[in-house]
Amino acid sequence: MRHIVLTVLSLSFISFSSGPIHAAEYAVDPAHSSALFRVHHLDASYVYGMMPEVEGTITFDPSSADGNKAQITVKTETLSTFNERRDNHLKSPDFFNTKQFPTITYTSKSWKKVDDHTFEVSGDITLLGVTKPLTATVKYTGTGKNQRGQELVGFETTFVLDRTQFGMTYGVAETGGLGKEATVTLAVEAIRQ
Amino acid sequence: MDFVSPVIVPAVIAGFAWLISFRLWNRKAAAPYGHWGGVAALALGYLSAQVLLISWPPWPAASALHWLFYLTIVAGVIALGGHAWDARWWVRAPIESGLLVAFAWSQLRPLVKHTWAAWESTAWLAGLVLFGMAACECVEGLARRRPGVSLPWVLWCTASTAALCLVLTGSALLGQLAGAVAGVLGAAVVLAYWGPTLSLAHGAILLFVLIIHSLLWQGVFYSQLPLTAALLVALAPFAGWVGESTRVRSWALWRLAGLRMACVLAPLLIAVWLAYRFFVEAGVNDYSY
Repeated sequence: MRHIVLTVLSLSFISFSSGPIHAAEYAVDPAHSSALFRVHHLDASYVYGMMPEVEGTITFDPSSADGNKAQITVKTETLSTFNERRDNHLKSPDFFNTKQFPTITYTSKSWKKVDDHTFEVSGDITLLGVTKPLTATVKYTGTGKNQRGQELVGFETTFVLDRTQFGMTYGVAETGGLGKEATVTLAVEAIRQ
Repeated sequence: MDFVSPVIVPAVIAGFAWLISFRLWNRKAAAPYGHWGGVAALALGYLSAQVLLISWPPWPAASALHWLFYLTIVAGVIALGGHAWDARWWVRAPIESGLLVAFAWSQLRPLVKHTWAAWESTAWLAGLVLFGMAACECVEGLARRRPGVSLPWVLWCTASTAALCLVLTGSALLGQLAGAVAGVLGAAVVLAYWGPTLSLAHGAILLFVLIIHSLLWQGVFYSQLPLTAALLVALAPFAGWVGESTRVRSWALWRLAGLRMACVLAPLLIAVWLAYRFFVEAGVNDYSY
C-alpha cells in the first residue's frame, strides 16, 4: 500500500513538472547581437550600415506568447557604414544625433504566436526622443548552449522604419535624395539568467 | 535636394515683417526704439526654416533643436513685449539673463546629464551665459547707436559664415538653419539701403544672439565645428565697435566703412579657413552625402 501511494505521488510530481514551460529570463548578449540597416541612396543602390552594440532583456516561452516580453537598446554611437566620414555625418544632428540620443529603444507590449517559430510582436520604438508604435514579425531562430553551458536563444526580425516620422528628415527628396524608409534587421542572441 | 527654399522662405517672411513694421511710406522717420519687425522677422524666419527643414518639433521637446524652436517662440514674445513697453534695463537685464540661462541649459542638457562632471557643466553653462550677455549688450549698443545698413550687414556676414562653417564641419542641417538666419538678415540689408532709419535695436539683437549662439554651440558639442572657429564667428559682431572709437570717428566714411569691414571680416575669414581645413583633412572626395 505504501509503495502504491509513493508511486502515485511520484507520478503526479512528474506530470506537474512536465507541464507547460514557464517563460524564462534572458539577457541580450551584445557580442552576438547586432542591428543592420539599409537606405536607398540617390535612387540608385542601397547603402548598408550597422549598430553592433545591442543590449536588453527578454522574457520568453516558446510554447506560449502570453508572458513574453522584450526590452532592447541599440547604442547609436557604435554606428558604422564602413566609411568614417559618412559615419561622422550620420552621427551628427542631421541624422542620428548620437551625442544627444545615444540609444534607440524598443519595448514590447504584446506578443502573438503565429507558428512554432514566428511571433508577431507589438511595442514602442523610441528614436531621436520620439516614440512610435511598431509591430514586427519576429523569427525565433533557435536555442543552443555556449561553452559555459549557458542556455541561448536567438531571434531575428526585419522591419521598415519611416525615419521622417521621428524627425530625421535630412536628405529626403522626391527624387535624388536619400530614402525616407530604412529597412532594419535586428538579430539578437540572449543568455538565460 | 531642396537646399534653397528653407533659406528663401524665411527671407520672404522676414521681408514682409520688415516692410509692415518699417512702413515704406515713412521710411526716413527716425525709430529711436527700433522696429518690432526685427523681432518678428528673426523669430518667424527661424521658426519657418525649422518647420520646413525638420517639421514641427514634438512636445515635450527632446533635442536641443526642439528646445531652440520653443524657446525662440518664448524669446520672440518677450522681446516683442519688451519692445512694446520699452522695458527699462533693470527689467530687461534679468529677463535676458533668464532666457540666456534657459537657452544654454537646453542646448547642453544631454552633456550635463550624461557626460560632464558637475564642475564642467557649471563652467560651460556660466561661460556661455556670460558670453551671451556680453554679446547682447555689445551688439545692442551698436544697434542703438547705428541704425541703417552697417549692423544688418555685420550680422548677415556673421550668420552666413556660421552657416558655411557648420556645413563644412559636418552638419548641413545646422548650416541651413544658420543660412535661414542669414536670409532674414539679407532682407534687412536690402531694406536698410532703402531706408537708413531701419533699426535692429530693442529686441532683435537678443533673438539673433540666442539663435546663432545656440546653432554654433550645437555645432561644437554635437557635430564637429572647432571651438576656435565658433568663438571667432560669435566674436565677429563685437568688432563693429571699432568704427566707434573717437580716433577714427573723424575718418572719411569710405575709410571708416573699410576699417569696420576689415575688422569684422578678419575673424570670420579665419573661422572659414579653420572649418575648410577640417573639411579637407576629413577627406573631401571619399564621401559626398
